[in-house]
Amino acid sequence: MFNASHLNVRYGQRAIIHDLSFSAKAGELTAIVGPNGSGKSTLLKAITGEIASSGDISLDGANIRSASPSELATRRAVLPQSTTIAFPFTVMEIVRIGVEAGGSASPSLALRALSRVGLAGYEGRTYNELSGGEQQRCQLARVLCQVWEPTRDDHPNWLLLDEPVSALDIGHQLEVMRIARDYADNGGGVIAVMHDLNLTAMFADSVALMRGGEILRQDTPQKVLTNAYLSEAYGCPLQISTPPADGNIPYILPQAAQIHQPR
Amino acid sequence: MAEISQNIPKAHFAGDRQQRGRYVTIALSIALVFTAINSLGVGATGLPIWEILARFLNGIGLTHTESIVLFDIRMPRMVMGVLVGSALSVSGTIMQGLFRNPLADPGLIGVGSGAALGAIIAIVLGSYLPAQLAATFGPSLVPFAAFVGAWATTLLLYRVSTRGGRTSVAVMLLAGIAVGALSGAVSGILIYIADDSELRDLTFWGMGSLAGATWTKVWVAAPMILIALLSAPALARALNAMALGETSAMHMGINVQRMKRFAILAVAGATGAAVAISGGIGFVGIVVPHLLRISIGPDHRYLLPASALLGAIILLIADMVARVAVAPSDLPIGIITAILGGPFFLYILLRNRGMLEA
Ligand SMILES: Nc1ncnc2c1ncn2[C@@H]1O[C@H](COP(=O)(O)OP(=O)(O)O)[C@@H](O)[C@H]1O
Ligand SMILES: [Mg+2]
Repeated sequence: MFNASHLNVRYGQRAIIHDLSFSAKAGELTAIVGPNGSGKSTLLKAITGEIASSGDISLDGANIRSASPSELATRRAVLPQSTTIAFPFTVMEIVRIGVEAGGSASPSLALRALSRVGLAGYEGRTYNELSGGEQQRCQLARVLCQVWEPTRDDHPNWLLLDEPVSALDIGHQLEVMRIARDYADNGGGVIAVMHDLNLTAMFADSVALMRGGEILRQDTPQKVLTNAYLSEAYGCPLQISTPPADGNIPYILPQAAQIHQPR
Repeated sequence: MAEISQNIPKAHFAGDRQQRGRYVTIALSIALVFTAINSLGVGATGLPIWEILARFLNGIGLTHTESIVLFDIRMPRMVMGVLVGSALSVSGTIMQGLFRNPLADPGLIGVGSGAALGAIIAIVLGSYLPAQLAATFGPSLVPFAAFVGAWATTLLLYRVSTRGGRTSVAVMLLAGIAVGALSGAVSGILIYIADDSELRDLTFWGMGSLAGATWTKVWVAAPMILIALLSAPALARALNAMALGETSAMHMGINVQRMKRFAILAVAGATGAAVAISGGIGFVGIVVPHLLRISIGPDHRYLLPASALLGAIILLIADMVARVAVAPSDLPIGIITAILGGPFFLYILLRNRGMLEA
């Protein structure tokens, strides 16, 4: 259980997040959605301890502020929105840094993670010469290796992902969402910042909808991804239906009137 | 499956250059031993070093002249070359990892000037120290002052050029120029109040040289350099994680603040001691790690030891050239490293132009 209550974050004089409460359960995929600048990354950075904040943040009951970086590193791994690397590391070497951070001794873990994210055969490529989507998947492989097992000694491990699929094509978006889903189904916890509302509806158990540094509502996709909440958050008309195949998954499109009509 | 994979602990895969790192380190170790022995035989007075070695192994001693040249002149100079060469290139490697930039070199960004300033102050003002204090430090006063100068400069540069985990190379280099200018100005003032023997010591700083190597110099510099070199491997994993950025390093369990303090102390110790005994020898710290990253990759677990070895080899070779180029005089080694390193540095600069514009 990841729990934040009465959370406040400020950048200089500007309060970005004010008295926010957020929680995520192990065994679930929790999505954070909301418009640009609504504070999604800030919330994620606050609960990883990357930026200063006030309020309570706990991981499975323990205050994360009193945990050492090395303790936390074996319990949760963090995928940043993007990562630049200073030196010509190969894909394999990057992933191995994650393997070591997680304290695993298995040298084949890196290979398994790379094939899981669809980068088998990329081991010897230089990271800086990959495309943006390939870099993001390489980083995901590194992060997976850090907390490979979803649970350890009856404790859940956690994946915290900032826009894991935004740079990816539709095939790899599905593949990465499946990886996150599997992790949660096997007892781990996943918190992911998402932009694609349809993928969120398909894969998430819980959705926190943010606007202006606040969580408008956190609940199941069916309860949060409604016309009322979404138009309040995004300020644009949306058309919500359910796809014929699966009766209760919301399906979100921009309002038809605004779409270019093909002749 | 899990059991099988654990039974092959050092298996290596495509893109994994650990194996090559190990081979290169072994090859460099052998090359260093060979170069070091060979360097004992090169100089104004020829010394048939391999023949002497063979004689020595057969239990036949050295002539009086041979033993003076070998033990009092060549040997301390060789040891000093090894210490200084490895100190400079390991400092460069650590600094580049810390600043996340292949262009960060202690000599280039003013840490060398800071160390020199410390040393100059100690040389000139050392005579004003209370006798008791001067006696406590003895000949270590100059290296210690150089260490303090290097440490203060590194700290200053890091504070000035790094904000929110990102280092601006432009700011770093400009701040280095400011420190260099300040150091030059203060040395200028000190030269006026220096006496003749102090002046001779000072002139030597400008050039960078291993001439005048003595066992005393070796003994005062060796502890600081060895501590820095031996503690460097403890930084390897943290420096690897730092390549992904400070926050990712933190998420991977690195205590970033502690690691930075430790790295800055190691750089200051090695650079300070090296500058104190040899003056400003440039470009070693930038060229050596760059060459090694091309061949074994940037993994600091291999890069750090390999840098120490290759740095020592390159400095010994440069010193041999310095001794025979204009024999019987001794060319300052700083001139040679600058002639070779300058163009090479320009080449690295061209290839990394993007980094400066960031
Ligand atoms: N380092 C920073 N300094 C000042 N303001 C920031 C900083 N990072 C983010 N902000 C501001 O905080 C708000 C939330 O940003 P962020 O959490 O990154 O949004 P997003 O939901 O798109 O991830 C934005 O208005 C942004 O301008
Ligand atoms: Mg964001």
